[in-house]
Amino acid sequence: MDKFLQDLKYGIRMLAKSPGFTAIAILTLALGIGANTAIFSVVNAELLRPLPFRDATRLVSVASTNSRTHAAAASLSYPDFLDLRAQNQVFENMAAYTDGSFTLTGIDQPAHIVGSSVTASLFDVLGVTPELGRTFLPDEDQPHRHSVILSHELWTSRFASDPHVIGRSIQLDKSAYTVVGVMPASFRYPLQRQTSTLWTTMAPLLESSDGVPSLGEQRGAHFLRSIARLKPGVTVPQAQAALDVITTSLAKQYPDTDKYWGAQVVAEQDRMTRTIRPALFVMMIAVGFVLLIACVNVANLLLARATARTREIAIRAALGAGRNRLIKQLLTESFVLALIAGGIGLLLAMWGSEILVRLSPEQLPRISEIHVDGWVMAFTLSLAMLTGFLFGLAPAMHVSHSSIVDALKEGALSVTASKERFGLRSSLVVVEMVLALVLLVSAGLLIRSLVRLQQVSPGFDPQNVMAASIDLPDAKYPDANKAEFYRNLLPKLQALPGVQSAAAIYPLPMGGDEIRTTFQLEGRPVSKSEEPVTSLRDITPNYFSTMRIPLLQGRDFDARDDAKSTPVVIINEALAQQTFPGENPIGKHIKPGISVGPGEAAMREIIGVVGNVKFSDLASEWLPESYVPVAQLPFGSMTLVVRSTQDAHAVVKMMTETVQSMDPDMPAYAPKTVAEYLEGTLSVPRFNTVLLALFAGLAMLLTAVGLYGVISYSVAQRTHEIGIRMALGAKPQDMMRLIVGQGMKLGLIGVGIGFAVAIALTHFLSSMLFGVSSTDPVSFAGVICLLMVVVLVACYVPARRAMRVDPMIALRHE
Amino acid sequence: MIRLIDVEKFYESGAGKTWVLRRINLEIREGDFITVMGPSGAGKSTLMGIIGMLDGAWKGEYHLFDNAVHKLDNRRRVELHKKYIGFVFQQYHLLDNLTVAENLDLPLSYRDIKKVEREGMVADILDRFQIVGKKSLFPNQLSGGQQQIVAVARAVIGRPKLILADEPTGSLHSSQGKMIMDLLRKLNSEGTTIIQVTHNNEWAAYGNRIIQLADGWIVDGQNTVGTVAAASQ
Repeated sequence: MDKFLQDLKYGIRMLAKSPGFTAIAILTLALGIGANTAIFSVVNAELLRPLPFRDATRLVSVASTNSRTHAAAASLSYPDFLDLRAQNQVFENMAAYTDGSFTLTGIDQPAHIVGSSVTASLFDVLGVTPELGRTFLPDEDQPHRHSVILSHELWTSRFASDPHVIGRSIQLDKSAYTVVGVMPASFRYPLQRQTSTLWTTMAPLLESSDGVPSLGEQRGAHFLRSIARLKPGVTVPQAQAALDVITTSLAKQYPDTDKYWGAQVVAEQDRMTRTIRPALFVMMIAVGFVLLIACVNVANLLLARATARTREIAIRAALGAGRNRLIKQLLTESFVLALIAGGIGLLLAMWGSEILVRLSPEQLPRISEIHVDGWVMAFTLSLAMLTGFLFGLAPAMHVSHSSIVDALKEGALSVTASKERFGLRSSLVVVEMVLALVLLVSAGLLIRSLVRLQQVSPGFDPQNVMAASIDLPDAKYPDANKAEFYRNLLPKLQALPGVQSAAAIYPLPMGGDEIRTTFQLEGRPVSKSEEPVTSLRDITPNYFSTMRIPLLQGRDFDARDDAKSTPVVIINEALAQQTFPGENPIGKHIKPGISVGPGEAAMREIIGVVGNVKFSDLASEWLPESYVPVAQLPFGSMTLVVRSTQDAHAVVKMMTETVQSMDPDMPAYAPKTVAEYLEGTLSVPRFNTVLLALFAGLAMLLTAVGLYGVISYSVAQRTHEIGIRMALGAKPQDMMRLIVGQGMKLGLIGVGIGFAVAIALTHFLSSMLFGVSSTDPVSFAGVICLLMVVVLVACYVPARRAMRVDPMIALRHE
Repeated sequence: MIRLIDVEKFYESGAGKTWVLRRINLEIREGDFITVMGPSGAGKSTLMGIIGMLDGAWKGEYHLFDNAVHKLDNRRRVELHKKYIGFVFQQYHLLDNLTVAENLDLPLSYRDIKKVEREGMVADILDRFQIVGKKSLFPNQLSGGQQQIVAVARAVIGRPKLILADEPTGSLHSSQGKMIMDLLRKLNSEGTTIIQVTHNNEWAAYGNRIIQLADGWIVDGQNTVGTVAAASQ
């Protein structure tokens, strides 16, 4: 311990003696460690930290699969959920939930609330207890039992933390709900960014009017996600096998609806992180490369410094220090450097992870859990120790091998040792070049991919269109009144100053919601399980003109298309080509399997064909789509879209005022331009691209610094040689060529090896690319040119120095 | 104390072997004050490096007291070095970023001596060499002579039986040189064996025996070779 403290003291003193070296080394390492720690804080929150529930490793997600449409991780229907829950022997308990939106009235201003409809078992499955009151009772899943549990946030913001809130009746969508519990502040579920602030039971979804089966009663209506708790000792594969048996039986029992449906069991944490895991993996590799480059740079700095320290090491050896003791001393100094860098890196990571959270896409779950905790600190400490060892070992081994007798003579380092050391330093620079090239190519591929993605037309014009949603509660607006509401509202919106066109739709493209249904073709009967699938959108007249979706054939909906007239539908080009290849679809009939109100779904006449529209994101395929008029399929929740020449904020204000002039209890929520919705779908690829480009840029900068250092060192070492050459008649340009040539040689070796390594590694990016292959020649060529320019620039300054060498001074140099 | 039998050292070069030391046979008794002389490149420093066990790549036999150095591995040689040998260099070779006291402490710290004991030894030597007032200064705050006094103090602090002084006065002016040589003579009179390298005849005369080296051979002063050779047969 005494020796260690002594080494530590001398190490700190050595570092303080060379503040320039120390600052550069610490900054370089701190950037590498900081980047790694910041990304690790995300990995820790997303992949490593258990979900914030009791025995979270036993929580699994249960989803549907469809062997016909190849859908995976799809929603469940409520009847299927009930069967799976009742018949399985592998789960302790099982719950289902769906996102919902509610209008809270009677307290302050009417407010739109994001919530969830859940089975009563959810809180039991998660193993959570409320802060106030209780969780749901099993019989509260039955129709007409309207209970609600509030989040801590909603309780404090809307109910002033009222301790007597339990038992209070509140108005949600104009229906009375009884508050039965308040969850603790730490509870969030689902664990997404815009999480629920209240939870109701499934009861409202099981209530039907006019004898029509409710959503929850339809086996074909897939709208639920499910979470279950495995019994102790049961594994995911065992649970999967058990559910396979049940779904096979259900498929036989209900062939019309369940013939192609199966179930998929995955660990809940894996489900949540499935989409982001490849990107996080790539980012970890990227920051790992940056750290390696930083280590190589510092190792190079230490090697250069080792030249100056050869005498000191030799003296220590002459005074009795053994080789191990010398290595320990040098490693102690490396560790001091690394630990200081680790501390600064940790601060950078705290700042960096805040920025990451701010920039991160909405799709990133558990974002609020991204912070520097004990695990992250332990990671940083381990990383600092590891880097200290990595960059300290080579110079330590090298120094301790030097000849003591030679080193103690005047003139210190022998030419051979100097050459060996330069060779090692050059090899390290080549390693840097290889790593930097791989990162730059990866960033280049993502940038090209993002550009390609941005060039994809969504099928509509998103510019200058404002969107805001409204919910017409069933209790206040029976179906007939909903259509009338929109019929009255839209002309008012249209009449607003600067508004060119206004309409309503559900679900909005790129809005995240989706309705898919099977449909029948008139005159071409197939069994129910074999019916084709279409996406369905409910719209008002003028939707196509507002969004500038081209009408290719037929006509748009208009006032003629009301509840009493012939049921009509407009299809998109994809559905026309898929279902009516080579035929004119106008006048033909299809029956999308969705209806509102009594009676079965209507056979509808195709009155128009419109252009295709990207549905969920720009990378998705064109899907068959059907549009039906809201007058014939009245939905309560719709998104208003308004094309205007006015400023977006002004339009939102006018839209809200117009809606509330018709119903003061009706908030217009989630105001956003359609362009922002579109941008939102690009947030994940943009986030990945920005991060990787940032790391690649950092790698390039560090590599340039490393190369500059090595070439500068070489120029210093060769001053005598340069003097002789110049005394023999070499021109300054020859010296420039000599030095730049030396750097370019290193650059070409690095690029050559890096090219091969990049070809081998970039296929890991394939799942993140759109429209470019992982071996895209443009990206590779561009990066190689860029890197060679960087090499040239890094060599230029030392080369200029070589050009200015005075032969007389240089010849006295040695 | 020291017996060298047919010690040789060479470097491999493109043209073959370049000999640095040839068939060195030498016996040094405890209490000797030996002076090694010879022109540059004669092999003086190499011989000191071998005796001081800083150089491990040579042929022949080297006996230090009862230890056959040539048969020992590097770790054992380091141990032996720490036990018996102190070095004084021409360039003083004090560590610039350590104070006088810390420079004196350094060889003790490599000898696994406890801190409290080391502090006592450093205080003793500072007192003995009358440099107590300099203990907190750094080498660049001392004159050349003062630095060499510290270097000698550092060489003797571990109470070595042998001091190897490679041109200890080479960088000093004559009065400082005399001071150092008087110091070495005093240490020798107290029982420490001393081997010095010098080009200066005046300082050479401080020793009781002079060994002349030229081109790696002992050309004069090997009056014990016959004895050693006989002993080795």
